[in-house]
Amino acid sequence: MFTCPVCFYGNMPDAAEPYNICPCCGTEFGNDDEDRTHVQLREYWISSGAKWFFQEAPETWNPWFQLMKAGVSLPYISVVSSAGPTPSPYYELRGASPRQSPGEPIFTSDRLLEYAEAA
Amino acid sequence: MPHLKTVLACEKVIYDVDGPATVVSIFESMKFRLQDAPLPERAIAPNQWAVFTMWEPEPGETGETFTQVVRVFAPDGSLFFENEHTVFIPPEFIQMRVKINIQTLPVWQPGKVHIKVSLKGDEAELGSACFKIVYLPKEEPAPPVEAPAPLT
Repeated sequence: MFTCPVCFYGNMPDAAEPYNICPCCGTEFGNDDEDRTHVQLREYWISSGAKWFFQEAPETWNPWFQLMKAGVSLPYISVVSSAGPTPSPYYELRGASPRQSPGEPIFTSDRLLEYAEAA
Repeated sequence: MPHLKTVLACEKVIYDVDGPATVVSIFESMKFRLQDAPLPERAIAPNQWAVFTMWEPEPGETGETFTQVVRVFAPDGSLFFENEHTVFIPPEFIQMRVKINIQTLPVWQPGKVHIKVSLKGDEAELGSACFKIVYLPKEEPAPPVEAPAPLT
C-alpha cells in the first residue's frame, strides 16, 4: 500500500505515479499535479469539504483524522470547554461536595482553601 | 465466556506500577464552544480519551484468550471508531482490564456518543457507555463600558 502525497490516505493501492488515481482525494498523478503542487491540490480538496472520491469510503474513514495524523492543521478550530455535567470540569474531578450546587462558582480562593483544608 | 463488569469513557486511565488502575474524569458531557465558521462534515476534535473495560472470567477459562470489540458511534449513529483487542486470561486472575486510547472526538453534530462492547464472533452487545457532545453558543464580546458621567 502507498500513501497519497496530497491527502495522506495510507491505503492507496498504487504508487503516486502517472495515471494512478488516489481513491480518497481523486488526484490523478501526472495530470492533476502537472501544473499544481501537492499542497495546492490538498488545499483545494480540503476547501471542497475533503470528500471521499471513489465509490464508498471505508466505514470508519475520517478525512480530518487522516490529515491530523499527517500533521496538517485542521481548517477549523474546536475548543473543548469542559468535560463534565457542570460548568467546571473540576467539579467532576473533585467530586460533588454537599456544599456545592450546580452552577455555583468553585474557583474562588476561599473555596480552594476550603478544599485544601478538607483534604 | 468472560463477563463484562465495567465500561467507561474517560479522559485517561493510569496503571500504577503495583497494578491498580486509576480512571480520570469519567465523561458525561463534552462542551464545545463554536467559532464563527460552521464545522465541516465529519469534523473531529483532537482530544485524547480512553475506553476502559473490566472483564471477569469464568472458572476454567484461565489460559484462554478472548477478543474484545469496542465500537464508538457518533451522534448521527455512524460508526466512528472500531477496535479489536485480544486478551489472555492468566492463571489466578480474577479480572482483566483493557484500556483503549482514542485520539479524537466526533463533534460534527451535538448528541450522544455511544460506546458498545462485544466479543468477537458474537455480535451481542455485552455493555455500553455514552456521553454527550454539547454545543455552547458563540461567546459574544463584552459590551463597551460607558464612560462615567462627569461630576458636576
